[in-house]
Amino acid sequence: MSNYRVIFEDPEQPEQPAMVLVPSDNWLEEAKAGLLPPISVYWALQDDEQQAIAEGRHDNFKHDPEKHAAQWTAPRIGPLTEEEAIEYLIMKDIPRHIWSVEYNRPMFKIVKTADVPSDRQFRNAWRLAA
Amino acid sequence: MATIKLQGNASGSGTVILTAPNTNSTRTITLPDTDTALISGAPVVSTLNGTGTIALQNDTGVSSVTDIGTGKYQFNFSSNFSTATYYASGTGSHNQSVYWEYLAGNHQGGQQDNTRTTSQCKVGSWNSGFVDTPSVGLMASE
Repeated sequence: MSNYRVIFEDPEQPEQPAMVLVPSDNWLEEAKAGLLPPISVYWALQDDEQQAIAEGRHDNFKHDPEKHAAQWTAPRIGPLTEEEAIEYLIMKDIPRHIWSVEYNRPMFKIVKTADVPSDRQFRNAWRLAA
Repeated sequence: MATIKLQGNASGSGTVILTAPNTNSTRTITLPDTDTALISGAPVVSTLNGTGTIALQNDTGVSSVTDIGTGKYQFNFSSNFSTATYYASGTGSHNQSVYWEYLAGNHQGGQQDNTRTTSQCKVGSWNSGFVDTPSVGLMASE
């Protein structure tokens, strides 16, 4: 199990409690083995899909075959450490406006797994501590 | 007569090998008459424990899961599907005080997230309100 979790908030959804990203162990092994494509491959796919959503044509959306295939055909980026893999994962699986824009407080934080509360009684009140 | 052309890649240096199965029969693979990649997103079969510190249990085709809040989880895929109309079914089992409840009655399961994208799909667990669930699953494929 990964030593890390990523806690983040979405400034576009201020009522939403803090969210927790849990990495997949299998995916981390692939990252450490150097099997991932450049992150730009995923961004290109995200851009195309977001545009389709904005233009109301997501129901029939289909990725460009070449861009889609690049997930497997693009040159691999080489082995990553677990820390580098977590940074890659943030850029892949957390919405870009959360980590690419500077706000007046941090919107995400990489924490040790043990630091995430296991008591979920007040889960919907979780906030990212400064 | 239409022809088949095998094309190398000038940028790479590896060797791609097509291997035959161990068979005594003649097999025919018919290619589609369309411009498309034969590769598609890998099927996703994943489960997580939605109680305590959220943990993935099976993570085939998943790069991460997002704990969104009580009873709400999002599976993020290792690779994007080619289209947003892929099949996705979320399930969950909810531990009542005296018995295990399956996908029936007042529990939501077997649902398909209408907001899913090619890279993620949400699964919720509902019992009069969203509730944390000890076993949440997603199966998705195209």
